[in-house]
Amino acid sequence: MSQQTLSDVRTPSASPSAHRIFPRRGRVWATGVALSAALLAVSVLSAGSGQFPASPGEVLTGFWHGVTGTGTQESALLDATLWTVRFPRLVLGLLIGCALGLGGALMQGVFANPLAEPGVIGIGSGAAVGACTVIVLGVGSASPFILPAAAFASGLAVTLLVYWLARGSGASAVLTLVLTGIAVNAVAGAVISFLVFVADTSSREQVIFWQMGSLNGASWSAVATTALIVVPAALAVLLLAGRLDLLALGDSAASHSGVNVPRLRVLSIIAVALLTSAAVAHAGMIGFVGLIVPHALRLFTGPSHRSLLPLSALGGSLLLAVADLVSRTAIPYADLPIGIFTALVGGPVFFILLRTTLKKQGVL
Amino acid sequence: MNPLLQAENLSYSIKGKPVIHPLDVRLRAGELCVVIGPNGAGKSTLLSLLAGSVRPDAGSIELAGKPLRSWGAAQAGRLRSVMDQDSHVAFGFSVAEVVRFGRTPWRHTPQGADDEHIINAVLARTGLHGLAGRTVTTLSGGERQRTAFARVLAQQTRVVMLDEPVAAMDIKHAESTLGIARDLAREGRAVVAVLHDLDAAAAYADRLILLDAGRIVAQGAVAEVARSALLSEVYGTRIDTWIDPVDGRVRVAPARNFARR
Repeated sequence: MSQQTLSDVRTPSASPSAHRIFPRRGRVWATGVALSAALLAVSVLSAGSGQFPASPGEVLTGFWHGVTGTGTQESALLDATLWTVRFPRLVLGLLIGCALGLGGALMQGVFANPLAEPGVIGIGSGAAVGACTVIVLGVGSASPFILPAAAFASGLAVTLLVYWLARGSGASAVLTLVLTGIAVNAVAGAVISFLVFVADTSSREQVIFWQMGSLNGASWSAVATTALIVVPAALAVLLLAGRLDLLALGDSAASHSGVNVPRLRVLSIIAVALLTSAAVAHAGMIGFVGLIVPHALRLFTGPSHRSLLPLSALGGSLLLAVADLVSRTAIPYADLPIGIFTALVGGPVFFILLRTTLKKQGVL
Repeated sequence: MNPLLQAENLSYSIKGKPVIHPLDVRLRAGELCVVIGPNGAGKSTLLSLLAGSVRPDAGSIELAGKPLRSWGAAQAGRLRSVMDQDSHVAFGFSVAEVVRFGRTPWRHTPQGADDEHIINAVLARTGLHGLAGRTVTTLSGGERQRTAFARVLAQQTRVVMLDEPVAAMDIKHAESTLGIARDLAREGRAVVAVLHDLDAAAAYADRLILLDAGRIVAQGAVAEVARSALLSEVYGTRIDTWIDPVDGRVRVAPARNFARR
C-alpha cells in the first residue's frame, strides 16, 4: 500500500523550471537597479540643495571640475562649496547609511530575529559610551582613529554581552532580546548621563548634539576614516551571506547542515560592532535605519541574505541621503539633527513589527 | 561491513542526573533502525548525542571510521543529515529555498554543481512541488515538517537521522515519508529514526531499539522487540501485538478495553 503512495508522490509529472521555484531573482535585480537610480538622483538633488542652490547640471559640472581639476573663475565658489562641504557630507552619509543598513540586516540574521537592530538592542548606545568617553576626556584630537576605536571597543563588548544574555531563550527569544536591549540602553544611558554631568561646557554641548545624530561638519578626513572601516567590513560581511540564511533554521539545524555556527556568529558580531561603531563615531546616534531598511526589503525581495545584505547597504544609503536632505531643507537656515527623522519613522515601524512578530508567535 | 556510525560506552547526564546510561549503538548501511520508548526515555537525547549536537560525558562516536569531532562542519554535513523535532524557520523563506539549504555542505564541491536538479527531484519525491513557492511561515505544522524532511533529503548523506519526523503529518504523508526513509536504507544509507507510533515502527523498521530510562532494554529484529509482554511492561499499559494475516508483518496497538469500564 505504501508502495503505491510512494509511486504517487514520486511521479515527476510537473517538473517546473528552476525559474518558477526561485521566482524572486528577477525582483532582486530590479530592486537593486531602482535603489541605485534613486540613490544617484537623491545624491545629485541633495548636493544642489542648501543656502547656495545649484541645478543638477551645475552639480554634475562641479563634480567634473573637481575630478579633472578644471573650472572657471565664476564656477569657483560653487565648486568649492560642493567639494569642501556638500560632497564630503553626502559621501559620509552614504557610507554611514550603508553601515547602518548592513549592520541591521546582519544582526537580524545572526539573532534570527527581525527586531534585532543594533540601536534597539543597545549596541549603538554601547558604542556611544566609548565615543562619549573620548569626547569628554578630550583625547580624540590626537588621532582621527581614537574615537572610532573607542566606539568599536565598547560596541563590541556590549554586542557580546547582549548575545550572551539573550542566547538560548527559545520561544521567548523576541521578548528576551527586546528586554535585554532596554536594560543595556538604560545602563549605557546612565553612563552617558554621568559623562555629560562631569564634562566641561564645550564637550557637554558636543555630546548632546552628537547624541541627536548629525552629519554636520563632515570632512574628507571623516570620510576616509569611516571608509577604511566600513568598506572592508562590508565586503567581509557579503562573504558570510550564504551561511547566514541557515541560522533561520535554528543553531542545531544550521550546524547539521554544515555551518560552523559559533565561528559565523563571532565573525558576524565583530562585523556588526565595526559597522555600528564606524557609523556612530562620526554621525552620532542615528537610530532605526537598520530596522526599517531590511524589513522593507524582506517584504519585497525575500529574506535571502545574498540579496538582502547588498540591498540593505544600498537602501540604508538611500534612506540616510533622503533623511539628510530633509533635515537640511525642512526649515530654512536650520540644520536639524538627522536622527530625529529616522526615529520618527523608525519608532512606529518598530512597534508594528514587534506586534506582528509577537502575534505570529502567539505571545499576544 | 563496518558500521557507518558507531557509538561505544556512550553516557550523558544533565545536572548530575544520568539521562543516558553507558550504551553502544551501531548503524549499518542499508538499514532503517527505529528507536522507540516512552516519554523521557532519552530517545531524542540519544539522537542528539549521535548527531554531535551535545557532547557525551563519556564514550566515543565514530562517523565513517573517524571520530565524529574530527570532521569539520561541512565534512560532517556531507556525511550525515539530521532532522530535528523543531521545524521552525525564522524568516519567510520559500519552501524551495529551505530545501536548498540542505545543499549547503556541498558548496564548492563537484556535487554542488547539480543543486537545482537535486532540489527539483527532492521536491517531486516529497510531493512538495505545489508548495515550492510558498513561504514556510505560512505553512501548517505538517507541511513545515515535510519541508524539513525534504531539506534533509537534499543533503544526500550516507547517514540520515530523523527525530520524530512524522509527528505533525497526516497519515498519508506520514506513510510516504516513512516509505522514503525505508527506501533511503534500501539505497545503501544508514537511517535512524525516533518514532512514537509503534505500529509504524514495527512496519518500517529493519531493527528496533527499545529505550527505557536511558537504557537499551531490547534491540534487534522487529519480531524480537515488538512483543506484547515487553512493550506492555516498558510503557506501563497493555499493548497487544499480532501477526497481520495478509502480509505477515507484526502489528502493534494498545489494548482498549472499553467494555470493562
